[in-house]
Amino acid sequence: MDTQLIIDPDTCVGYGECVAEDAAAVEIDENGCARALVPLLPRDRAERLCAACPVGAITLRPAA
Amino acid sequence: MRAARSVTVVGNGVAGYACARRLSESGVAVTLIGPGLPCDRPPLSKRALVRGSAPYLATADGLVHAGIRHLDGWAVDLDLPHRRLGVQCIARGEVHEHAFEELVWATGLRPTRPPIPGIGVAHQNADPAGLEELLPRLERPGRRVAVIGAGLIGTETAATLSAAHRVTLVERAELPLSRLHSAVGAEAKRVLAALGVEFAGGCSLERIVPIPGGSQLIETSTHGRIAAEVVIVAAGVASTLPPALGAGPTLATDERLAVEGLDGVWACGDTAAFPHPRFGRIAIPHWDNARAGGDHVARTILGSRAPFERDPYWFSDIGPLRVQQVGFEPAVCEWSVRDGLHVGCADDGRAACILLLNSPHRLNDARRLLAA
Repeated sequence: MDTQLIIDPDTCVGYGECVAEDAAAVEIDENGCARALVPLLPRDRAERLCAACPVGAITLRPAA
Repeated sequence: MRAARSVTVVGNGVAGYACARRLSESGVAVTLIGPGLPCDRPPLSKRALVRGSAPYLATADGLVHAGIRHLDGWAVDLDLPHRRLGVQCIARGEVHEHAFEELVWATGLRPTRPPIPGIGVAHQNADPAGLEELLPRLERPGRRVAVIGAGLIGTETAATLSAAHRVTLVERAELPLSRLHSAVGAEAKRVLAALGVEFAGGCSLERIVPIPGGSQLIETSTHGRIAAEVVIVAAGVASTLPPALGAGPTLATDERLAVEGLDGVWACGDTAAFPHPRFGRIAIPHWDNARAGGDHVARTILGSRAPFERDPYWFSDIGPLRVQQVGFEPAVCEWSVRDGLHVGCADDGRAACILLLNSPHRLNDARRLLAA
């Protein structure tokens, strides 16, 4: 099942743990905040990203 | 792969908790052994100091709800042949025997103190117990604080505390963060000065003596006497590996983090020395490796065959200065600045380590360069 990443820009501090986990799925933007590079991800990859965030900035939403 | 019926995780820091959580989510019976509730580590020196409380990763109720059985105490007397260990209960001090099937060792490093007379009065904030003792001393603003040791934890601590206190950072080397690329130390020194931290570099400590009123006097042979109401030491770490696991600085694992020569024993976190496909056998004492390693061991126990190939990565905030590094610094022969990035090349000419100063948006570039 494909999943959408929701990244809260107010919580993200740009440590880049998500990039360390999956650099093909996310990047850190010019404001130092994580940004999804793909609209949808397989659920396992999305869950890994969610677990990798040290500040809990990433939540998941099942694709409609 | 045999099916894991139960797993015992020793160590309730980042690695141990990441492992326990992943296993419990998959329905494996998990026992987590460690003093106190699972607690995060690197924010101990940053957000936790500001917030005034240790950053626990779970509550007691949360552990019960997750199906994680927590034994609140220290693992002692590891008996590998009989697959059992003693758990010294934190509440009553008595030792209970605990039989294990799969064992995950994730006790990390512990902070140590340099052998200076009087150093016993110093607080430390590298683990939850030390932090809980320190925090009440910092409740009132404007304290004179001396931080001993300008490594990552000491430098972050000094920068963070400077917002509310008068801080002196005492260091043996001339620059803070002297083990890193000199650009980091130079920039950190500038930032510390701007924050009002007095940096006492090249300092040789002689002793710490108490003075009336509860303060301490740090006597040095290079910087005279430094008075402080609160002394924090952040100078050195030691292994926590028990004699049954060799008691060395690290524990050698295979590419799936299974401890070499032992059946059903796994290691993750600071002390797990795994065979990195490019940099050889390395142990990485940083948050990233702890969380990822703990998660990886859980996935391996659950049946994954994937090797652990994590590139070293760490980040640090020194006041407004963000430092990030990917790759393996000991492999670097020569540093240069390339396209705004500090790039360290190995003897084969490939980028082995990339340092980012206040450039979090270049992290993907840095990772691409490392992989090239």
